[in-house]
Amino acid sequence: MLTVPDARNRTPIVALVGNPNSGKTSIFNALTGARQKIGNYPGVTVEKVSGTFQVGDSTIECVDVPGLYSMTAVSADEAVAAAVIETIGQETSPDVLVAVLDASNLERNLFFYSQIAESGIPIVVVLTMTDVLEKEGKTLDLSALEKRLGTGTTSVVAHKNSGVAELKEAIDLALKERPAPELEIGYPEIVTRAVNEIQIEFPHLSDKSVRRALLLDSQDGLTAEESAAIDRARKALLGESAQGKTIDAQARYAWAGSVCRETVKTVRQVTKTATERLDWFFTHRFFGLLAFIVVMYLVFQSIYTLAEPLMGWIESGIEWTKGIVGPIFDSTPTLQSLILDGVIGGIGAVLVFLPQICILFFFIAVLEGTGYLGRAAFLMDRLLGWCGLNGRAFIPLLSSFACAVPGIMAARVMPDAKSRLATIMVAPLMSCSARLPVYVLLIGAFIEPKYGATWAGFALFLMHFVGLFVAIPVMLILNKGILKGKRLPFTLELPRYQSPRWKDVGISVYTRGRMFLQTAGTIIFAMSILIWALLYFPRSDAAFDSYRADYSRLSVVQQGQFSEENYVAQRQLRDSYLGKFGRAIEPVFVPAGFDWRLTTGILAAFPAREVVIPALGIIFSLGGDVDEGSSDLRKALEGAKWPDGRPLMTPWNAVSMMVFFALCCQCMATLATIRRETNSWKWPTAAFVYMTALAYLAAALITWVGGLLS
Amino acid sequence: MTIVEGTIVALIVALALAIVVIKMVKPFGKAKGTCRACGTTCSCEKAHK
Repeated sequence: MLTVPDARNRTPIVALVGNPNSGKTSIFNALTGARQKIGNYPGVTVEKVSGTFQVGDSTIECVDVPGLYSMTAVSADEAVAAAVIETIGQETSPDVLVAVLDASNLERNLFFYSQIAESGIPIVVVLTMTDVLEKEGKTLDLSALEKRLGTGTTSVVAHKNSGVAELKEAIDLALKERPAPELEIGYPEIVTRAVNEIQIEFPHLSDKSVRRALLLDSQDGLTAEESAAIDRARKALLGESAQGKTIDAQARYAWAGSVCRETVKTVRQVTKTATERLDWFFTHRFFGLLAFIVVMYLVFQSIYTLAEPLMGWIESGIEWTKGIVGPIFDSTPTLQSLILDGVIGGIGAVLVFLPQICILFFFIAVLEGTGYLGRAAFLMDRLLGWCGLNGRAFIPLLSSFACAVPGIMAARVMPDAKSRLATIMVAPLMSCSARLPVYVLLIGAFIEPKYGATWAGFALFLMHFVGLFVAIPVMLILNKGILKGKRLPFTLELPRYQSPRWKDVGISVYTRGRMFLQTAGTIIFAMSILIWALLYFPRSDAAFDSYRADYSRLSVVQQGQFSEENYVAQRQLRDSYLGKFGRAIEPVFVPAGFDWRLTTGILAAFPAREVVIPALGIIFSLGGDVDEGSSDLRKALEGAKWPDGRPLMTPWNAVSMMVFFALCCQCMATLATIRRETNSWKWPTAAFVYMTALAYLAAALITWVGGLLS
Repeated sequence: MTIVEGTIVALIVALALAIVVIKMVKPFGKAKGTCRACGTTCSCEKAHK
């Protein structure tokens, strides 16, 4: 494979730039064959992503960056994109910019184009959404557009792979010929005169750099003498007011408007688009909220009911595997226990929840693809605004429902540092997919048998909103107190409604499912083995003899309650390393309704909450309380008792435990991401402390109220 | 438990412990290209050093 070196003797770099939601990532995926996340709303990409593609025998590096409305970056994600364009002359600066322009929103996209055209980097223009433009009864005069833009254009429909080969050729040509566009933006006469006067004094300065310095106060590359002269000219031109940026923006929009008038032709009148008609309903202050609640309820009800048969098949498969593998290790009982209970039991307990995870991500991907999520953000703006944030925070919070790590990173879309910090601090409260197995287990064991599948689905729906409800007062305290300060206004472009692209939905479900198995699977696999070891050891023949002797001293009535085998197993478990530790710490968790076994499961889940299921599986399947022959964790939990014979788990205890998991910060990766995004240990520590304290207090309160009512 | 069985079990448990420790420590490492000052993955790292 050959690589085309440029003057800097490295692989050529091409950067995809454009407005948010203009289709950059779709083109990136089409060019590189990558599977970057795509969503029909602005702000999906929040960091720089690289990939490579081939043109003939040459390799080209392609960089996808977050969307920008202008080169004046406001939020952290925009700073990432602006920095890529502004690093001209550096080792990592792009050789060609691929400007992705949404043809159906051309005027606004051209404003940004007019700014990047001054970077001096060769540009290839890609037009997207041309099919939408046609539906709106309009066409584009491409030759006129190319003339006004000073560069060639190409149309791409990424999901159909149409125009991708032409784009590659255009990039290759731009890399070889390196033409940088020249635009003729009409500035007011007084600005042009001021620029000319400065150029007479400093003839080596270009009119572009003088105008930037004059209107945008950009001092880049200027000497002190030049800066002082331009400063004097600015004061003479504008006085003390900061109108330079407005003059610049007006000139650029006037240029963009004139380009659109010349190139976009209306061929038929379309009165009201489908998006406008749908938005009347979905953004209505009453019907919109009602629709939001109904949509969310249906999603969680579907997750619960659709996954049940799939879970059954996986459970049967695991039991079948145990039946096959078990006899192989008959001569080595310790190793057999490790393989069956530690390895297969642990992995199986995670695998069984894969259907719910996939179904959840399927619905999220469908809602993203249709453009509904932008409307949800709009609806949430009122609620979040009341807490001091705005609707823009809904996107990171929604991402956190899948996993807090991308959610925390998505907080870069927040326009100011304090809003971003407040969003980061509440993002882990959103109910991530790792909590789903805990809810399903406990709802299946304690809610569904008593109240039926409909209420079970409703309980699952409610559990996903516990974190959001708790986040409201937390955000209020953060924004009105600790992180008090001026907030920037909320602007969010509502994307067009469209049919979800099923290939993207499939990729999203596959990627998320695989990620769940890979990231969760590895640590669960390892933790299952450690928990098994801590519960299996120490063990000795002498200890077993003493347990048997103790059993023989029990009364006949007591012996009738459990067999010698179960009694010995229970004693061994209590005296294991983990059993001793759990019992030592049990008094702390008793007010929350957790005995030493549940406490041990919770403690084991602090590095990653998904570990709790295999941990409980190991703890309860070894315990004497489980019916012989029953490997079902739900049944084991239902049958578990306190030492005085009271049932360990009631529906109230189940709710208490679910709320504990909903609020507690049991995720090392989340804390590490907060540390990285805030560049401080203070905020991850604060998040861990406040969430764990909230979880404990809420669980204790529910147990106490439950005790009073039952 | 025989010596062979004990050794196999000990090795598996030790490997599991190593995986857990690595998995817990790794996320706290510095991500490539991440700015230490503002946290974003961008070229501003040089400016903030």
